[in-house]
Amino acid sequence: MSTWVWRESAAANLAVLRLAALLVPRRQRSEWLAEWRSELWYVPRSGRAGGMAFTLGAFPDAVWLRRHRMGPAARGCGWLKSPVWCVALLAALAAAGILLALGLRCVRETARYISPGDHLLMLAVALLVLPATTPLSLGEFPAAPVLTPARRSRRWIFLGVKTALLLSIAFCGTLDLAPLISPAGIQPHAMLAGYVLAFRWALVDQRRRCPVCLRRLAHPTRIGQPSRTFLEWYGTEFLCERGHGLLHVPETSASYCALRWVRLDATWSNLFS
Amino acid sequence: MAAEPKLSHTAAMILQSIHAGYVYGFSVMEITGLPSGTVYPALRRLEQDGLIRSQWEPPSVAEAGQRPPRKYYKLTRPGRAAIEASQKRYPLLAKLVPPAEVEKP
Repeated sequence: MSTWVWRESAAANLAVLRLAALLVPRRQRSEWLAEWRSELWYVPRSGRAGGMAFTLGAFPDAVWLRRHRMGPAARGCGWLKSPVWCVALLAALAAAGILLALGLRCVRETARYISPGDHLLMLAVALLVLPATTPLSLGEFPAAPVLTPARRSRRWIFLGVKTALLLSIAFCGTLDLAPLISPAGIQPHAMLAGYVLAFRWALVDQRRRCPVCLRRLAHPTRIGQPSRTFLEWYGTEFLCERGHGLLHVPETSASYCALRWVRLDATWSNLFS
Repeated sequence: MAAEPKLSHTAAMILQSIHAGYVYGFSVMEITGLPSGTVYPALRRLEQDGLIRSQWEPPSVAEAGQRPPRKYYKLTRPGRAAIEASQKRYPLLAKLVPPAEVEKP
């Protein structure tokens, strides 16, 4: 291989590494890049071909680090913690979307062509696609005598309101944005994608909430060891900051390990007061 | 949690490589024949599990060798226990990875 070709190849490998580095959490990025650059130095010297094959391995590594970060950024946004603030924020976004849709002439014209039947069909298709993107279960709550009928209904009402607001945001958002991106009719596809994402986010968010107070669970802690794989449970444990319980989220779903809520009784209350 | 650690075969092979003296990512790749997309995430996982720990070599050593500084991996005490258990579980493991001659830092 000539020096020129190698230089070109090294530049291409470094460009791919820099691209993969964007996936790495910011505080680990410089060290991660330094390690990969250091390791890349050995590839041409080892006489092995396929420097790019080596470099492409940086992507699974970067994705792994992204998935397993446990920094403050992974703990969720503060304004979504409280159920009231969550609904207020979604309502504000939905209102902004509706006002924008009413104000834009091109949007009003597009909306005229969408019949209620089309709208229902989109919702039905989105519900059919949904199980492919996320489990439909909201988790197991075996030890839940504190979940009174009132609390149970509050939980379902919250899910219903949240879903309705998210669907409104998806509907108005695609009406507002689709004509700006492409006038050639991407709106139905964007609306379908928006509905799937809205349903998915509503379910994922609901699973990460305390069933008692409906606040977002916090303080993720890794339990178990992923490299020890034979029928050992491993995953992440979340804690209700008001001391109502713990949520065990398995890393891989299997018949013997599901999303499980562990209730903390009143004897734990001193730790959270 | 079981007292005896149970590693997957790939994790055990990577741990055995480090135990044998292949102490940075590329040398582990070379001896195991595993692709980079498997070795580096596995090293992160083993480090997160406390079976290995990493340390950058001093820049002066790298400069003397006219190469970039290496990130070395070393077995911890639980890592040594894990490799002993894995050798019982996978008896051919030690034969798959011959001891390194000059790799140890």
